[in-house]
Amino acid sequence: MSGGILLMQVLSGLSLGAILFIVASGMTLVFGTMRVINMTHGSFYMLGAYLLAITFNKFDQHLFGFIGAFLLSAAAVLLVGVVVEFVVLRRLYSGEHLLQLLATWALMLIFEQLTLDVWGSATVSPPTPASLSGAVTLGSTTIPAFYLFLILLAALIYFALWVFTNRMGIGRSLMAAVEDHELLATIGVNVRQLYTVAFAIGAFLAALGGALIAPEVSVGPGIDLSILVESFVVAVVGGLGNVNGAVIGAIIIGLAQSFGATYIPNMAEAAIYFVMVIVLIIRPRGLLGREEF
Amino acid sequence: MGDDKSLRVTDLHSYYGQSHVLQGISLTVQEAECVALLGRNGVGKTTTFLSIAGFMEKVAGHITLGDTSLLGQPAHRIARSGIVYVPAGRRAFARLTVRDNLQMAVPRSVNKQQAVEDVLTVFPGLRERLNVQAGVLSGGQNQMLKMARALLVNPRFLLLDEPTEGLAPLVVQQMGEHIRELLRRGVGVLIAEQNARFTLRLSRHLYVLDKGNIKMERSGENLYDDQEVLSSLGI
Repeated sequence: MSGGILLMQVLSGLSLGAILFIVASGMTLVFGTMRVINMTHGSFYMLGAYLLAITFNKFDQHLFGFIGAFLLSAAAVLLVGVVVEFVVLRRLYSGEHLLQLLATWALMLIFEQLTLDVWGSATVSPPTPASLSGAVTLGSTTIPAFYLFLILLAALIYFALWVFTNRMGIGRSLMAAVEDHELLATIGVNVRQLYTVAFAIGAFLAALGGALIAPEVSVGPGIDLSILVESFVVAVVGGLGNVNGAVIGAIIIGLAQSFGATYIPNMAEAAIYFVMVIVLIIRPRGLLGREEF
Repeated sequence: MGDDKSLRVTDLHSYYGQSHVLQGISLTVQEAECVALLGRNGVGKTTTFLSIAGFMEKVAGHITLGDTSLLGQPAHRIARSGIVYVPAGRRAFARLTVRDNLQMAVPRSVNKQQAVEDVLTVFPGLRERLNVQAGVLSGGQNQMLKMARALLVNPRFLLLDEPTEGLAPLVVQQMGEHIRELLRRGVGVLIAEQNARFTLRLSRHLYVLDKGNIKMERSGENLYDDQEVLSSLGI
């Protein structure tokens, strides 16, 4: 195998990983702070993708139009997230985890039907923005510019999350809530408000991932469930609740998908589960997960 | 009524699911007064604190601070109104630094640096540990961190759950000094303790809890010499 093909494989894996990281970091943030496995996470991703398909048509097909469209889509889904947290989840925190799981699952089914009613069962594919549809030549290989754009953006989002959690008061409160939310309330912090913020950020990240990948895939029914499973695998491999774990998990799973598609095409779908099983046998709490259950 | 700034609990009932844990407790803490809440493990001391601080789901009765009713208010609002619960055991945001642990407790309207600086004059032992993760503190330092953090919330009443648990005798003495200093500043303190002698030396008022009821109430200067008190506690 030539080095050029290998580089192509790696970059393709990393670009898959970039999307997985963006989506899974939202899931892991929500689980870390609120201890909720959010089954609606995939729906937020799907909504982001559909909304991008609509809004991008309204903008010019250039990079700034694209950035404007995906920020707008993600912001709209953020609002949906706030409503979901406020109307549904807020009533369930004191109950069993199973209730939250069932409620978010029910919401997932509702969103699925709603998108089917609104957009129908045919798939839509928004175009790749003109300035990103080209290719970049690296030595003897040419790589789609969009791959590099995704990887760069994921790095940017990781940096933004790091600044948010380490340098900003509200982000620090979120990290504190991961450790001891009761103690946080004793010093006068409104933990419920914090949960709304965490859930909104989670929804935003899921939608951002969906909007970003929309030009690369066909957006249609069913993408909510597949991304839900994939980002869950990423979060579990990295250690649920840990954003750094989501980075490592996303890179591993992205590469497994990319190499799996080339070398074991018959079983490519199963590649990520092989990886998950192996990781969980060696480290049952994920690579960076902490003992707590 | 307008001048009454005391924390008053009247006929407080509290439930975990079906189990009726507190069965009608009444107690009062005045400003600048230390009150002991004693009794064996599992009689409801911590539940009393959790109920006052707004962490219990099912409560009935009255809890008032001055003229304001606190029952049913969310925990963070009770803390901001000046009733600060300091839970037992090792409690810290372990992965944040000691400095962050302290700064987080400062209300938004107050200068964080200045407030932390002020509280460090009360707990100088924390100064050299400001930049370490709170999880690595010793048991004594963790107790001091808990107290310092609570002070930053600007309390009028502190609910201290087992403040001397796991402390060396010398540190227990320091803790006693810190609590006396708080009382001089006008803060009211309610202490739940296994260490009855420590608590009785600080208190002029005591309640003994048994199975969710107040079994005995006493006031006086020399509670730690009161034979009836000591024997009711099994000392």
